[in-house]
Amino acid sequence: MNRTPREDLLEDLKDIEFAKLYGAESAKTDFAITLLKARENANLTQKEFAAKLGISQPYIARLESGEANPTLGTIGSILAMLGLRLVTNTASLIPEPELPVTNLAGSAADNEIANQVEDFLRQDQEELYASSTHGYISQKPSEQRHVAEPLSSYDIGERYIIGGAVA
Amino acid sequence: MWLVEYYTRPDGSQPAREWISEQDNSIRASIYARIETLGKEGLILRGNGILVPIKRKRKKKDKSIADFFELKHRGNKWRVATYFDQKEGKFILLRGWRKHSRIQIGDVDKARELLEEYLATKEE
Repeated sequence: MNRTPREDLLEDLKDIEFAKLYGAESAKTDFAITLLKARENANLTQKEFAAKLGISQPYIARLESGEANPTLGTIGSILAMLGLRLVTNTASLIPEPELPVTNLAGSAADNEIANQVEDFLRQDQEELYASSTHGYISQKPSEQRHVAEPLSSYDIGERYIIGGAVA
Repeated sequence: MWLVEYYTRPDGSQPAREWISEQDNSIRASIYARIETLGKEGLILRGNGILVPIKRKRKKKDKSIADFFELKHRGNKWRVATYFDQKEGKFILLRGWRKHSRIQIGDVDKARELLEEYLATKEE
């Protein structure tokens, strides 16, 4: 019978020495992805980020590929330069069961449900807009063109009012 | 989550799995950590030093090559040739090797042969 990488990993994790090594590698790789996403959210290239931190670009590359082993203090300093802090948490070392994303388009039934949910949420927002008297929502939801883009990319004329203040 | 599988040849062998099983604990741990991350993050890893595109052969026209990668660890010097099958939405681990010098043409060529075999098998 053909084995999968997940099945082999689960078998290997029964060995305590392997589990320790896997835990270390897994932590480095997880941090690598977290840092990569945080840097990209800040719209910084590795070179720009390195200059901001006063460290070399190759070191950033090593961090983002999970090959460096920074101390917790170093991680804190790096994240501070992005206006972030480290939030620690734990999860099971044993991987969750695989739930593959094999069909991004989804079935017709899935799409119908997704459309219904979207319509419901849109109606909800439209009602909120209609009843808003405090200026919290300044633009009709159905006319909004930007939702989660960084403020720096907005044109002045397209800024929204959030919480009564110009964002 | 993305499905990550070993490629199974028509004779039933799984070259990537066989190679990985021969590696010591520390190498195997780093390989599986990256395979797990690949399953969680998919193509986000492309180009950040973990999942690196394998360059197309200059004189060979091969449309599928765009989704042909090396899953790698530069420090531990291992590589696992990986194909992203867009139609199936899954990653296929073809074969692995240790990189001992800058020249690894033979290793990449063997991986390319397995990729061609995989694609041919699918067409049948």
